[in-house]
Amino acid sequence: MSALTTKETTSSTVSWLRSPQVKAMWLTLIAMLAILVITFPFVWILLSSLRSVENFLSLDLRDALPRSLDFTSYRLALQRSDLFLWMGNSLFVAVLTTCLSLLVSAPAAFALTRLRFRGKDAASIILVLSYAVPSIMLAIPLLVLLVKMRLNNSFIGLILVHATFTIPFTSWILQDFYRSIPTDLEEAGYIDGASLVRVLWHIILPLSIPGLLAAGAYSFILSWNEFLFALILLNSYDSFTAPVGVHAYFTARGADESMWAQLMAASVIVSLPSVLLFAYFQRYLIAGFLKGAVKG
Amino acid sequence: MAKIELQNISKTYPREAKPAVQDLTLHIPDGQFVVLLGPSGCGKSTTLRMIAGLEEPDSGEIKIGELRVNGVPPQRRDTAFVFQNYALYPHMTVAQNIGFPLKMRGLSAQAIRQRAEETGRVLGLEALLDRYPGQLSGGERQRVALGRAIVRDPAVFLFDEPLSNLDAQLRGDMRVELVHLQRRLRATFVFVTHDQVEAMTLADVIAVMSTGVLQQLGTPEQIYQQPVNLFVAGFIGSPRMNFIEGNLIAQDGMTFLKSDLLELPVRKCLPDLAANPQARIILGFRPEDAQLTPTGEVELKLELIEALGSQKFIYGRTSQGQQLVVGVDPKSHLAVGDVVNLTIPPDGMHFFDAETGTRLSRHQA
Ligand SMILES: Nc1ncnc2c1ncn2[C@@H]1O[C@H](COP(=O)(O)OP(=O)(O)O)[C@@H](O)[C@H]1O
Ligand SMILES: [Mg+2]
Repeated sequence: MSALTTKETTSSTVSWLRSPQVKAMWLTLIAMLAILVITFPFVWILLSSLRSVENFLSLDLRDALPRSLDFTSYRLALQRSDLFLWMGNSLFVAVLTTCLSLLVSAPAAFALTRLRFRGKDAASIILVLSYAVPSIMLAIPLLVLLVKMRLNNSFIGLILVHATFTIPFTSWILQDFYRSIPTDLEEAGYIDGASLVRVLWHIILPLSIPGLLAAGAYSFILSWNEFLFALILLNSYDSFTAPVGVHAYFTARGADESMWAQLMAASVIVSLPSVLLFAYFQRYLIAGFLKGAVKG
Repeated sequence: MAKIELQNISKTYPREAKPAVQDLTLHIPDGQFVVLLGPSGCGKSTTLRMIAGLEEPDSGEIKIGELRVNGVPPQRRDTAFVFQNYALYPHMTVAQNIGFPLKMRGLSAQAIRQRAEETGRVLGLEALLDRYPGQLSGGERQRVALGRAIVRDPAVFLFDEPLSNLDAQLRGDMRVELVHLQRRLRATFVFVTHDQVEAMTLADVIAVMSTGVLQQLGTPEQIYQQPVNLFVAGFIGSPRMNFIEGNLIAQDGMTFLKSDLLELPVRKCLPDLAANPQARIILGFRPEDAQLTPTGEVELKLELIEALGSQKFIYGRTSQGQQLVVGVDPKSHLAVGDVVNLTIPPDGMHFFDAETGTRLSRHQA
């Protein structure tokens, strides 16, 4: 009898530990920790940018949070540097990179998921591998190539370089998306008299809008934030993209306290488009769009 | 309108060991309603998809009308295909779905809308033309898929188990409608199903398939009354045909089927076989063909009674342990444990070669 009771209590303790609520609590805790670690730098930048310049470098804990919202740094950053010009350049580069990536990867991903052709497996593998090569290794060869093509110090050159890493990424996202579209729909299209191109245009692409938006948002953010190649390729002040411009402006001057605060403010301004874009488009990652295609 | 001819078609999918379809020859005359019937995985869909051009056969020839269509892409085969899951375009309205084949043929937007409306009216979809597939019931989606098929007058209609997602009531209604539709259009219909009742009610001609091989081609009556082999005999009919394996023995001018479990006088003679007691044969008879009579040769002890309202089946065992099913008068009063005598009329007897499974009757189909 007593043995039985002991057994029961142990098993109930264990089952309590394994209960869904406890599991959910743990997962939530871990997720919150991860979020904290990931967002801390950004939060710190945001807080610093709003701090008054005098106590920017103060080590007093009471100065960690800004005492009042002070936008002086934002005003100074915008007045003294050409932030808007650089952001305009970034916008141009990122938009064209995104268009180019989608234009290439939308049909490419379709071919890789749905068609049978020679060298398909090799193409898939190369696409993934190209993503695994550290970009610094590609920097010199790409630079040499672009100089030969007279595309260094031009947006076209930078867009092509950005496309080399956005296209594998968008292809990958779109392949995943296409796989979720029932093949019946394409076959119905062929039976109804549509060619391959028209099936892609009339059936696959409209159903892939959420996927295209997600892939587009990612490639825009990748291109917008890209620093290394933009730094190497662009060498006139007027053609800097936002990250390069911010870097150039602030390394050209001494690092006094007011400059640090302005740097933080500039960083916040430059990050804003990515953050907003992501906040807006993330809902498309959860696509319930295919509902009704098949039996319900 | 066109006939379909499949000549020695074989197909093995890449990286598969067994062929999905094997040396299939099937001639479908113009304007017939043909049902491909067989258990799941027997190659029905593959056959249908090869007619449509969604798969290419490894060998053999496919003709639609007078045209050899091997290598012709689906767009140019002029078939309509209704998929099991309907495959409606979820981002298009009902009218756009029905009109899509016309759009691909370059008709004007006005003409498309007009034809879509006509077709919608025929199928009772007038009120739903501007809805999306996601807003329709299963039966309504089925009609839209049908509308998309009939809107452009194709040479042949291909159906891959289109009714299997509907509830029983709707399925019955749709069967009747499909038969009417086919009569009205006088088009060639090829319809795939694993449901024998569906096949029996729809077909002019049934093609029974098993493991990629055509077993029998015939009218529903032929398939039911003269199955060419054990597979067809066992697959068609519910409950299943009874099978008794044994030897035929001639004795005192009578023929007996002698099995380990049963000895049965067989009035219908197969003289050449009776002369050869070595040959193992299988006697088959349908539950509904056996009759209960006090003088019946076989004694059956009842183990289960299945009353279906209009039909009643009794399941039982002979004293030696042979299991049999018999259809009886639904009003008869029988109970588990009762012993009945039954007789099998000669017309209800089917003989098969035990080794090859082929039919041995003289009036072989
Ligand atoms: N795309 C495919 N790839 C490989 N094997 C397949 C494919 N489609 C069907 N098969 C195989 O071919 C056989 C016939 O399939 P199918 O024609 O779909 O049968 P049915 O429609 O009669 O159920 C099955 O064994 C199935 O597993
Ligand atoms: Mg099938």
